[in-house]
Amino acid sequence: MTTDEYNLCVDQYADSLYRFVLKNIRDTERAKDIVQDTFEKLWTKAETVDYNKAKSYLFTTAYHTMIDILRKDSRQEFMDEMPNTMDTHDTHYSDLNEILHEAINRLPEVQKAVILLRDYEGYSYEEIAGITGLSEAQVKVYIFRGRVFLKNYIGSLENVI
Amino acid sequence: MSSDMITRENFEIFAADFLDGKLSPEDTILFLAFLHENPDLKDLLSDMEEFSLSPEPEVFPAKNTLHKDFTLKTKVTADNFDEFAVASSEHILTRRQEENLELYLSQHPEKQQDLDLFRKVHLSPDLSVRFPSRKALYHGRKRNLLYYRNAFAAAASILLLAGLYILLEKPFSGTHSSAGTAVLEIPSAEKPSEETRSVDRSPNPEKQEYPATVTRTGITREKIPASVTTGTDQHSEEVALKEIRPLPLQPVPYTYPSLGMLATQTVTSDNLQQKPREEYRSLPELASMEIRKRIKPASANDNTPITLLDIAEAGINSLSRLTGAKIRLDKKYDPQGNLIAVDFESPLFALSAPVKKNN
Repeated sequence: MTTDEYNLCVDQYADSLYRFVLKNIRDTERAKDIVQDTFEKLWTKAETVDYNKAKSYLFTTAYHTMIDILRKDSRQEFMDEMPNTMDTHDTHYSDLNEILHEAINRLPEVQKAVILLRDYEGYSYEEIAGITGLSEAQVKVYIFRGRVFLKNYIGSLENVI
Repeated sequence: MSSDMITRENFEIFAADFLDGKLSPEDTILFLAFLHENPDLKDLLSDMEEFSLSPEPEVFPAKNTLHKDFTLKTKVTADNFDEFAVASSEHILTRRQEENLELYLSQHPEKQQDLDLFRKVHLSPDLSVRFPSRKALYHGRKRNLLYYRNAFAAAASILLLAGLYILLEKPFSGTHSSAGTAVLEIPSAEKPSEETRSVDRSPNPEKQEYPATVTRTGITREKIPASVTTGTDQHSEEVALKEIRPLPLQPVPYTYPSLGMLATQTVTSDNLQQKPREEYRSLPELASMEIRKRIKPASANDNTPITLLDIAEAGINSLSRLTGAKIRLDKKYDPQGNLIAVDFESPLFALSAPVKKNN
């Protein structure tokens, strides 16, 4: 990868990578650090990483860095232990997207990550498997479980409304 | 191993292997002989044999529900409807699977709402969220002195203009003598200052005989004839500051600058023809000449263009003179006279930047 290609990667992927990390980790400063570190890793490996695989490299690196941080974060560990059940809905929402973003924060970290990779970036199951290190069948299972949870979440909200 | 090795203390080790059937035939004979000699232990061992566990015939009742086959079957049922619905929302169903799903929905219209919900649970990114420190991610982009050349030149230009303002202000403010008079240096009587205008003072008979001038600062000065003054310099006139008060704002008849001193004379075509045009310059011309003298004194009389670097050099040199700081900007030329580098030197730091050739 040339320097120009690296800088093109910054132009093309910095924002989407930041959104992906920020949505998962919900901490602006940490998200910035992860994106910064990820691009520094890409720069140090620029000679060996092909430009066409740079996006996958960025998301893979950022995902694993993020998961490591989340697992060290006791607050997030607490969230992971939360049962995948409905909470009481006492919040007022203005649109469906807002409800969905609220709901996805209640998903376990892996389910949340694979759904974001699928919805935000349009990755295939195979590509998500490559990024997360999961098998393709596991990716399908996690996406399925996540979708069912989200569907039940907004379904129950519609009933309440 | 001999039977002497089996004691009441260690017999449990042999017993465990005996119960598991792991004792060799020789050891089994020895162990049975030991048990024959110790009937109480033989009874204990026989009781333990009765507690051996065997697997129960029960099976997990919902084993079928654990099977997962994500290669979706073509037939939609109540059990696999969710899988079809998710796959439909992900747009990964085959045409036949989609048709079967539609068929199932036509038979179970109550499921349409579920399918609609599944299709809604797709997130879209908030594109207004952008990475705030993108500039820090770039690599390999030029950030040397030339990168900031325009900024330096602009700053130097501002400094230069400030310096020129200070320098050009001095001739008009005059040099005050102890007697309360000021000396205005003008090149000649025929070449008045471009900054002055004639004022018709006819309503005041006392001052009518002396042409008055108004400076930029609004101070009225009256020229005193040479016979009244004691000055000896041909190129200077002594001017008494008779009034130091702002003039009221009134329309002032404008006279062409080069004819300022002729306002009280009769203007004829002969007068104009006698004055070479080169001796009279308009304000922009004079300003241009003064600027060129200060920016490029070595080439004040030619028409070589003034570059940003010339302005920067003059600005920095002016700043050095004004502040007393030892800062300077020098240009380096090759033997052919082409500019090859710019050196900046100051007490804090020094820079040397090559100049890119424009071919």
